[in-house]
Amino acid sequence: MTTAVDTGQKADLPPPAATVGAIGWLRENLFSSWGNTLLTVVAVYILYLAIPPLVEWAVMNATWTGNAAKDCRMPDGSAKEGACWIFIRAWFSGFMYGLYPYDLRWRVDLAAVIVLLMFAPLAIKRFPFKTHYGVAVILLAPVVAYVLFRGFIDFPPNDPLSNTHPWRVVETHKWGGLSLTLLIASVGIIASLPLGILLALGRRSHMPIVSTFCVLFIELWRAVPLITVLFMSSVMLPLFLSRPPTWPRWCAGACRPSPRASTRPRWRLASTTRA
Amino acid sequence: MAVHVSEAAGAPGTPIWLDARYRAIFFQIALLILVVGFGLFIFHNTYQNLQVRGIASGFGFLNTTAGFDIIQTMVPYSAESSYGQALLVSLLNTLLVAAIGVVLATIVGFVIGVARLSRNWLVARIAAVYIEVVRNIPLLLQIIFWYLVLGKSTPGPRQSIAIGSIFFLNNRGLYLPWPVLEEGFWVAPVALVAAVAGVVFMARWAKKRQEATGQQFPTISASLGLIFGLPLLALLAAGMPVHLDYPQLKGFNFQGGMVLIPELISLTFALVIYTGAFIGENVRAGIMAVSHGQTEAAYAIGLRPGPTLRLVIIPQAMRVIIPPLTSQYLNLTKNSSLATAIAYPDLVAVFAGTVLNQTGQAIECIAITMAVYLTTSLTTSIFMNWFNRKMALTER
Repeated sequence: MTTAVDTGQKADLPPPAATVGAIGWLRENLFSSWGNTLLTVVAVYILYLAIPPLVEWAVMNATWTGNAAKDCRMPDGSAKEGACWIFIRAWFSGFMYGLYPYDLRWRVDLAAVIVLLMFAPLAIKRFPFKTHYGVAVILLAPVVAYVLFRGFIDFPPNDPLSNTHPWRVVETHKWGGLSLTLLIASVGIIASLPLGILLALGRRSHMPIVSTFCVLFIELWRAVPLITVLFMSSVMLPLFLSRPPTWPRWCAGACRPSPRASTRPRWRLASTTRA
Repeated sequence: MAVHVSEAAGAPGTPIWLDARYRAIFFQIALLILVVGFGLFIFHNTYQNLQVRGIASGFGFLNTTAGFDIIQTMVPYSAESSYGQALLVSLLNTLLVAAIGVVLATIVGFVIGVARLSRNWLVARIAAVYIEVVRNIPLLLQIIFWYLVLGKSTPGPRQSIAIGSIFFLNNRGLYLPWPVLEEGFWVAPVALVAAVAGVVFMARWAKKRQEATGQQFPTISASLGLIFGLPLLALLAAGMPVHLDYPQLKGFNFQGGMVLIPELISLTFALVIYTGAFIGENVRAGIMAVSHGQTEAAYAIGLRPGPTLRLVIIPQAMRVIIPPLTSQYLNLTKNSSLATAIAYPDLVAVFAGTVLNQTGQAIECIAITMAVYLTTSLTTSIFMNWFNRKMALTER
């Protein structure tokens, strides 16, 4: 008998089935130990408690079709189980525009389109003078939006055009909805960044009066809640200014971006820049 | 810096408008004039406006009878009490929410932060979804949401949800048993003080012994035993001079015990859920900031996993966690002012709301409210900075 010595290389054995693929993944990430398995079971139970009722409420039992409040109710008048999504559809333009006059809502849309178009060139890679253009757009966009929101022809109240003209003035207390939120947010962000940088630099300054002033400003505004600042701008600003202004009370800070919207975020940016 | 120094020294021949020293003086005087001028302008306008409207300024109104009730008071208060007392009541309400919220949010935050780092995929994902959902919805919306959920899902007093006929939840709040102190209860606080003194003494002794002999002493469990056990023993020895007052349904409502109003519950819940998510991220950042080499080094010198966590990982993670934790605590306190939205009687709702509207003393009310928050925030800040210095890495 001759003994054959096998010198040829054999193919590698495949890895154990339990360590690869879906099963391997499960073993490693969900059932690696006793404690881990227990955690998985608890987590699955929590998901079981939360998700099926949510899906049932939001999808299965929800009312999707119809156009009036009665469509969300049973014939006998009691509320149906599940979500009433037609309410969102019916109120959608209210959510977007608030009390803005119906026939002028295209102006808000136009403002959105123009602002987006103004920002669009920034997506082009080799746009000439990109930085300068960007700064200019950032400063200009809120002004454009403001002019379009407000309109620019102020008719006396008895003029018939005061209710029909496409460019008539819409007072700030009729603005609302998501469009107003976005407008205020952008104005606040744009106004607070330079102020924040200024305050941060001022705080680091070697000039004692400048740094004291910046420290006092930052520490005062960041230590009080936003809502008291809002209250302040709504009840105290009229006292601070020489003539009582005619701003509507309900939108205390909202309709006047300059005093409120910019005061708040300043310190945060200042602290961030300093850090 | 060298440039700055040579400028400050004033190189010979530098014109005065280019000399940094004079420029600094000029800019500071300009700023001072601007700020003082603005202040005078506002003061002048306000003074004139107040005169025109016939509003008397001053803090005399604090002694006037308030004439309104507050739904949650921790000190005696009635409609005959003064505005000053209303201020105290509302301040205590704010501090109550802040205190409960800070404790619970810390617990939630640490649990969520650790869960997000869990090696269990499902747990980590659930924590991540929770954090992302909660952080990105405005807190005001969440407060109103939980308030409505609590209001819609709880029955009337007669159909209360009872937990072991001790706790009752209905649309008027959560009713809990509450201890009623009897004569002779003083032994418990005395025993507690003695226990704390004993713990301090024991900790020193244990540390000294470990440094001398290397033997460890179970300080933590012994301390807990002392702090809870000693007052309990004292109470038992004095014949239990305390009993629990259970809430009982009498007529249309519950009597006895303690009630947590729905506004308090939903506000605390929303604040805890919201702030807990932020604290969770801070905790995660803190733990991830400790390099894995620290764990390996600890194992290499023979520490077990428990002591490694307690003596190596946590102290280093805390250095990273504490500063952002401070600002989360301050945020929670300030955010509790959103209580106004669900009419929880906190400082802003009562003092900057009801009192301001009744008296018309806008400047005084807002100034006091802001001063209170300023004081609270700065106090918390000072305390946490002290704590942070204590925890900071001492480099030798």
